[in-house]
Amino acid sequence: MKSQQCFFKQNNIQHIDYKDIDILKRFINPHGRILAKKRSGVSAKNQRNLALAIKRARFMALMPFVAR
Amino acid sequence: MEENATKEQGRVYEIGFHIAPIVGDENVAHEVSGIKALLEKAKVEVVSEDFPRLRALSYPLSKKIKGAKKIFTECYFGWVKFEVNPEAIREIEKEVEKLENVVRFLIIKTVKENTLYGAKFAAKERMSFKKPDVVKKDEPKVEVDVVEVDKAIDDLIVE
Repeated sequence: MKSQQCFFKQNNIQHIDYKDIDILKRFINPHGRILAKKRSGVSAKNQRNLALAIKRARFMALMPFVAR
Repeated sequence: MEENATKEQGRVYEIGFHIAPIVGDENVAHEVSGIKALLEKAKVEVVSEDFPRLRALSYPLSKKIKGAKKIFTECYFGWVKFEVNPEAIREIEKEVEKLENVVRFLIIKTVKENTLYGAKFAAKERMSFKKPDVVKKDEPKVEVDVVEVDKAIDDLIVE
């Protein structure tokens, strides 16, 4: 059986919070773009929630829209 | 997303907000109580909150305060999690918009439980950088006879 890839499932995180910058930072590249699920290894459901959380964090200026 | 709330209980929402740094450290509490007064007017039940802390922004935010456009590169960011009847949320939003020192805010649907895990992972990662112990337990200790070693060295030098 293939081992669990999804970071949020591995760590039993039910709800992805936009204020949790330490976690969200793992899923953006140096330009500030959201990693594709191919690269992030996050499950489809969590990838959708992750993208929403990052977009909220960007709106609140906790994360950059563009960097570098 | 999380449809666990019934109509009588209300739903759990969260308001995150940036307070302009021009208010100063001593007046932040006053601003927060202003926001909380609005919430209380809408008969909310506060679940949890975090007192605003000054933090750097990823990009500058601007807001017209007393007729002049002000640009901020840092703000006091705080949040309040509360339970309220969904019909009241639009009213809260309109009221918060009127507050002059709130540079930006966001109201989202959320859950009652704690949703912040970042600190936990930061601690975990610091732990994982710890160097492993150098001593290997499995390796048998080799007894070194000093006299014999000296002899061997002497032999090598003579040759």
